[in-house]
Amino acid sequence: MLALLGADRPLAAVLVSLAAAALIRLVGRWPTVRETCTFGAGIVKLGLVLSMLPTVMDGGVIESARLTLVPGVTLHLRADPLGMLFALVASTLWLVTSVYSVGYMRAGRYPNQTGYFASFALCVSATIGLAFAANLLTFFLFFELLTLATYPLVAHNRTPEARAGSRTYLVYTLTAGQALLLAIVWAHSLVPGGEFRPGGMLPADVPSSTVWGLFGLFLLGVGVKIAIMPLHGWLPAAMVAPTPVSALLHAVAVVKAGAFGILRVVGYVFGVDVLRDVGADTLLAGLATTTIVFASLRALKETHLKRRLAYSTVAQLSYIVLGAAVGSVAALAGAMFHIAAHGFMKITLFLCAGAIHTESHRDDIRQFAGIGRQMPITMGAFAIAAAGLAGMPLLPGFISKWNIGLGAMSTGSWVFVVVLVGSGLLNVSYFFPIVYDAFFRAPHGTVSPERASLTMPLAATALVALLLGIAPNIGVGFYRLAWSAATSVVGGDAGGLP
Amino acid sequence: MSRARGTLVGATVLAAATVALDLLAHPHGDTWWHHTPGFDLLFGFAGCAVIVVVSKALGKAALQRPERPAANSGDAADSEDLAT
Amino acid sequence: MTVHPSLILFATAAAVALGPRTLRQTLLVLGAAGALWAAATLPQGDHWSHAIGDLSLELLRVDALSHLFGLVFTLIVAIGALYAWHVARRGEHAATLIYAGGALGVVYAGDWVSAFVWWELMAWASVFVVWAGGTPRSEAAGFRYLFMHLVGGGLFLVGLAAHLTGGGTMTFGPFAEPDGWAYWLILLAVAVNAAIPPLHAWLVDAYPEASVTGTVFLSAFTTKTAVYVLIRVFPGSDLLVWAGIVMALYGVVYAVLENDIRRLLGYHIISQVGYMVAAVGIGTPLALGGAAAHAFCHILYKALLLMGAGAVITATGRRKLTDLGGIARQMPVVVVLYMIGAFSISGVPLFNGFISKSMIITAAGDDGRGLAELLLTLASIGTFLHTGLKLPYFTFFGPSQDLTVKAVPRNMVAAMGVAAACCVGLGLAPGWLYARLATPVDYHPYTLDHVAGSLQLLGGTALAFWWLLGKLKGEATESVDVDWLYRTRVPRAMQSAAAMAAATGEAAQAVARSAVKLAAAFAGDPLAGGRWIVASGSKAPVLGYDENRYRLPIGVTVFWVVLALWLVALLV
Repeated sequence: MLALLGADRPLAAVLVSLAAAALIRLVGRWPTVRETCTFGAGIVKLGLVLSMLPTVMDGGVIESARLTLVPGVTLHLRADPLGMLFALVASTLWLVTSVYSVGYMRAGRYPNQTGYFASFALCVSATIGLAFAANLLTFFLFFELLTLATYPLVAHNRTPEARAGSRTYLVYTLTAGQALLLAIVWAHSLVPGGEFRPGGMLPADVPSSTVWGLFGLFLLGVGVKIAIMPLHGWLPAAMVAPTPVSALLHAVAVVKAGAFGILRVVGYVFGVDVLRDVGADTLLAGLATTTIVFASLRALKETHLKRRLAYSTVAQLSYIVLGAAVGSVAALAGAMFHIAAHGFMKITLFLCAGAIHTESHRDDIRQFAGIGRQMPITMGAFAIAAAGLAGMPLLPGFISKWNIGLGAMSTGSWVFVVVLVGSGLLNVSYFFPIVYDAFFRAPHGTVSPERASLTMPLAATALVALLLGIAPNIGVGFYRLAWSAATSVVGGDAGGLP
Repeated sequence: MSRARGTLVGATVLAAATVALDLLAHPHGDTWWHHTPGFDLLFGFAGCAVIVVVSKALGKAALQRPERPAANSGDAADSEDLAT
Repeated sequence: MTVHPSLILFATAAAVALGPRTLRQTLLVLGAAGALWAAATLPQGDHWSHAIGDLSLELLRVDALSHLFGLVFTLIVAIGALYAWHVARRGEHAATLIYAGGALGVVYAGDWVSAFVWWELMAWASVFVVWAGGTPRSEAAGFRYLFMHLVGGGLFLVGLAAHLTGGGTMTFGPFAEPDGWAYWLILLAVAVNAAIPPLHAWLVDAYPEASVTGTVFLSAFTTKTAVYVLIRVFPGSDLLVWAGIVMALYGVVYAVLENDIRRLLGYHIISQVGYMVAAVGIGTPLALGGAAAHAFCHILYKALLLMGAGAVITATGRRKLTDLGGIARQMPVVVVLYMIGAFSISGVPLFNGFISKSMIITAAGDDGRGLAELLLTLASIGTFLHTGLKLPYFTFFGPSQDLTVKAVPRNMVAAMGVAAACCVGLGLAPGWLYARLATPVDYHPYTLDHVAGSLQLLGGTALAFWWLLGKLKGEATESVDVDWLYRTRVPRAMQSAAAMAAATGEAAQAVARSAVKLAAAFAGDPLAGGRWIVASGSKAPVLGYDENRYRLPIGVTVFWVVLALWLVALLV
């Protein structure tokens, strides 16, 4: 069995945190041992994922063994460029969030930490499984597992609001799951096996009504997780969770899983040309644009920091949907790169929000006057990440926007470039008053000194964001992975980038 | 001689001197005003007057308004802060 | 070894912001000197390429034009750092250095993408300089400034995307077809930074609200970088000639009405940049050389003027002409140095404005543009009127207001001295500057004709000033500029849009919530439907349904399911 695991790295990567979850439950009584399990599993998982990187970078894929439950129903994992991108983002950020969680949970003296860390591990296991899913059924399995694994995390505080919020979350996501199942079954009837194929898996003779119907169901199924309006209602409600959970939901796992799902659906189920032929790309683009505008405007009205960040996530991830809708190589590459870029920047913001909450017990941005002087590292990282999301050059948000914009321009849809630019302005409107208040107003009230267990992770993610902006291929080569995946999907036609 | 009168005399002398320089100089340029001695003196005087008069008139008509007292301490109404 | 001066400035900024407080001044001196030395010793050529994906960026292209601008930019950083020696706010220092580094980046950029990146970085860094002013007015002005520049940056981005996808060249230089969308969008973006009316209001809105030390930096970079781009990319356009003339006169008209001394100088920035814009429009070698020379000189004397105004504000705490007067005796050195700046901007012979402004006016005349020549001369009259006569008279001389005058910090005076020395030096030895222009020009400013003409012009203006002295007093008024159009309307529009979005969102969610409640009511108690059917027929009570009776907590269920799946995977 162990020999099998060693040879089958995608499966091993998934199972590592599954095993960790069980282990954590067993050693829960000893916090240090328990935390070691979390970190250990995180490092092993990251190591496994990284070990697969060279092959994928060279253009290969790593297949894992197929598990046939019933003839025609197989579970299959495969590491390809897009999956690799997502898995790397997820495993790296899991490690960061784990470090942060330890500090946060202990500082806040939260109860039920064992259950928390076990669910955490389960959640990331599901995310990696999702990343490496090679066919629709495996994708669905891990998609639903993700929902179930995150439910206890959202409801962690067990207050009435937590219960209500987590129930809302379940209602949205499980209902969507049913739509997704329908879509998958239908797809299976058209394509036995339902294997993801770059450029689309559907046969050429599928009538456009089928395409529309299938696409609609997929959109419903996956769109809830990515919080496309009007399916976004669960996201602000889910802010009742502890901050590391929100970070996980927004930067690492859930919403990103939705984004990843959209990219898989557009690029590997239907194919960009099929969608363009039936006009579904216009619908997607319209939904994305509406979401960007509405969510950004909505964010202006929220004074609770985490809710403001939630709406910002909704808007930002619609960039990914927009890139997928535009469908040229550059746009897709930008959208895929944005998974990594947004991941690092958004997680920084959430970790900052948690640090602010821990040290000052303030959640409302109207109380943040002068907090930059009292928590300089935290607010410094916040400012960097906020500028990055607004598209300031030298940060990775600019690179994704640039590619999506160039991709849009090359297909003649310059209006989307205007949307991207305009949303950058809106980003500034809802983030920079916070930055101004923090640094340029007089401080008030007591704020505990910043503690290293919280500032180190957020400084690290901010630094990575900065490095990714200047050298997007630094380290693991996210930018190259994105372009590799995008090129394989669109099949080689240049997106207009000189 | 009073101060004002002395200044006036001094100014006239200087003005005359510069016009004299103009007569000595080799003019550069094709247009008629390059070859007119003392042109710049008149232009300076008249131009300045025109600028002041026209600007003041525009100001009275449209561009000026009394200073707002709040302008000295800060314009909350103009703030772009949309957080509230 | 060739080092990009911006890197030196960025390193200095990081060191100042994050390093020990006591080393602040040392680091500033070292950084500024280092950058100046780097800029002065850079050999010509392309020195630094960097590839990102498919893009090849040229980050350090040194030719005559970029060398000249690099030189003056780093020089003003050094002077400004000296002026700000006493400022303890490390954030402000870091912001100004990053801002300057961005400007240098644009100057040395060899390709469009890097030019754009540095352009945006300049906007982001400079807004922090504005905000460092620390007053509520700085906050509001800063946000308006940021928005204006981000809009400009957005125009640049769209234009650049159009250019590149339309097959345009990556090299940062003139357009092959000067009339497409890319051309106009980028020109518009540059116009924002160059403060061409009606896109200029941000300058006079934000510059007076920064700190006295910050404004010195602000005046140097944004507008001159825009001029640099105009020289490089848009030479020879009639539209720019007229835009420049309008700018030159616009600034002068508003300056007549202005009461705040730094806002008045801000309008003069617009006026002087108008000369440069017009010169770029004329496009002859003499004109382009004049534009570059004028930019060089303008940075120096405008900084000097603003440093003088800053000294006055620091010493008296007053910023309006109506509040000032008669303080010459308490700060004689400042007055003399200020007047050097005033004479420079006015084009008095022996000072540096004379050697550059006359190039532009002569170029206009040589190109057959008589009206342009006259109008630019008219603007020059206005300039002398305000900076050389009105402002100093009502600030330093004139009726005393019995103000308490604190001592001006010595570093500020020293910085003014350095700038003044540069102004005088350039004025006395124009050949130094002319030798460094991009195209050699055979121009001699010190001809009897030019000198006599200038003296007459200035004399005539002075006479008129004396005659109209009463009319020129400052009045406690504000002038309304084009930003009236968007100053309150845009925020209000955004507020109502946000409110509408929130209301729509709430409504949609309420609908969803009631639908879910209905479904949940049914799902929670599946017998409800049946009960209703039964109850409508009979009157007997029916047993309720308790969902928790036979059910484990969900966490436990999930755990067992997962464990079971794992075991299955293991065994299969």
